[in-house]
Amino acid sequence: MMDTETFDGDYGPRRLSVELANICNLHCSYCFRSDKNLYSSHAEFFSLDLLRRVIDEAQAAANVARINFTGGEPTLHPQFAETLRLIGDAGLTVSFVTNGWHFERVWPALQANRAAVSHVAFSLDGVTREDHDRWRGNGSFDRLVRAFTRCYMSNLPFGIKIVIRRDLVDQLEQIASFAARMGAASLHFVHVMPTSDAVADDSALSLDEQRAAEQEIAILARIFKMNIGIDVGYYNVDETRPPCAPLAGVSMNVDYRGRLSLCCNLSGFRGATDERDVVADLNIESFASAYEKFQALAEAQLQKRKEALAALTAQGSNPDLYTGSPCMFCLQSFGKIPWHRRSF
Amino acid sequence: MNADLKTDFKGWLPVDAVVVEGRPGLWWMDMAGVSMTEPFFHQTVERARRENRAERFTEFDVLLQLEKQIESVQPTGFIFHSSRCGSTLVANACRAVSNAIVLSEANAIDKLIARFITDVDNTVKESLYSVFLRGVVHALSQRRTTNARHLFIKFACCSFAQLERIKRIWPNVPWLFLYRDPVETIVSNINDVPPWLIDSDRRVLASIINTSPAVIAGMSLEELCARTIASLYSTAYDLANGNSMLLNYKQLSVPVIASVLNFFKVSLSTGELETIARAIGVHAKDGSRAFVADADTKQKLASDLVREMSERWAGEPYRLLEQKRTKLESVK
Repeated sequence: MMDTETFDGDYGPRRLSVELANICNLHCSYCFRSDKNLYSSHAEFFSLDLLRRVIDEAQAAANVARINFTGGEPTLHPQFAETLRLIGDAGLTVSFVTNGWHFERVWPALQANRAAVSHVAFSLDGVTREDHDRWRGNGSFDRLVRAFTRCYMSNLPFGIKIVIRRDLVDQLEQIASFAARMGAASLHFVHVMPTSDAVADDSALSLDEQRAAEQEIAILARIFKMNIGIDVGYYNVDETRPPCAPLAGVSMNVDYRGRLSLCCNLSGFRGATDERDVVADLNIESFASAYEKFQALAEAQLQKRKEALAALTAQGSNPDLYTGSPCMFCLQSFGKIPWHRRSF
Repeated sequence: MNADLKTDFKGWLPVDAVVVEGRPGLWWMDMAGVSMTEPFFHQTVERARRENRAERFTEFDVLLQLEKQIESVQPTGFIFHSSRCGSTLVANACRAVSNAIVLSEANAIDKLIARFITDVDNTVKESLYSVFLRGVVHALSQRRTTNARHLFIKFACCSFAQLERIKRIWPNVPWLFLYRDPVETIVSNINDVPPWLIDSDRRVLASIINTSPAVIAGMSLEELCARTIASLYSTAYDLANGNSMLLNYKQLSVPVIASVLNFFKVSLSTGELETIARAIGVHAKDGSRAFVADADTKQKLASDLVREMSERWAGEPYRLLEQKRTKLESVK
């Protein structure tokens, strides 16, 4: 699961991603969340008391205006309705990323707390039942389409997120047409976050392929009214401003255990050997104190990347994918992809 | 996007394909209650515009939504032509059919088809514009009366060059190709130069005659016209089959037009036949003037350059097409 914002030069409001659960009901092989957390560990859910305190403190200390629930699968939280109500009571809005499987079950909760819910982001794996269900199991596509219809008919804005695996790269137009037909307000593409050499080789695009896909997505964004962009993994070597909301200090992540970390895309990464991106345990530390550490880490990481880019420029080399993409750079420098040959 | 789209767009038609602030999309007009009686769709739009009808821009997304929400009439037949050869007359005859919608050279349709050519260098491939084209036709043919049953679409002449793509969207819709002696066609186009022949974006014609826009820029109108219609003749020759009908301007008559409608699987009543006879008794593009077959006049007006270009570029394709027409007619 990932942030629901696309970086396009506007970092958006200051916000907090909160992992409501460590578990997921689906098993997507390319998912970057630790499979141990998702499937082997005990189910852990974000405590309502901690959520209430974190939100209060985050509003006061960091002027946080929006919450985004991720996971695992956030709708598995047994008190999902209460989490929405809590956000609404705090005068904030919330969005969440879901695979849609349990959408019918949580729909009454959404209706009851409609004012607090800004939008919903659904994960999609293909524009046909066959393609989508191949990754997410039989019945998944139908449930998703029903969820789209629910949202559309109720004027609840929804977005679609789709990972650009190698097998989907030729279908970007069809994906955009499908999303528009469903009535989506946004379509956000995500590059594969590789969790092993095998995933990188089988599913991830090469840098040239990524750039071509990004070019096509830019054209689609110009054609469709629906907001189309790339959330994660895009190549960006513009050093004049932070490449993403986390490094700009605008978007933060709180994992299911209540720890503040730099980015939802690094949190609980499958196969990671390091957790240097975790800055504080909010169970025992105030948000204000944790937020200072977060800002320091974001600034240091930004500087580190600038230096890496500058070193390559000095050598006359073009940044490769693992430097040019801010996500890949962070994965590498925070020890999330130890199987990859290079490290910073 | 919202669920009220159906209400929001009730009676609205996409009247043009445009680019606004760098964003391609559609220009819509509230056409509720406006009958499409003029020979060309843009003439109907101009009339409606004089009534100060509401207008607005949307991106293409809305088409995909409307396609799900509004009911439309499926295409009955497509009318293609090589310019100045009686296609408007046939479209007017189609208009005489009860409960028929006739879209005659609607800008939104033909401009989208042109994008197949002008946007070819983009990585966005033809499938997207095919989806939009289908959506535009769906929106234009929305069932505005409960009785609407037939939809005839007359395309601009250059759109015929994209017949294969159009057929991929509507593989089973029967199509007619109207053409005329090349000398007469060129004379008509030179005497009253149509916009397509002097389009400042030369990529469409360059694609049709398989040359570069720069070469087009240095070409006489006679040559450009001759080579364009030659290409259209060749396309018709290559693609005409059992689901198509070739018709030469010189054949036009009430019985032949009735046979076109039969080919489109439309049974005509006596009253409709009488209406068609009246419809073709007036000039196709200007309902006020009497229609006069003018082949002899056009031949007499042809300059040496017209004759030379006609023969050099269009003579053989025209003769081949005539042979094919004769062959197809003998089979039917």
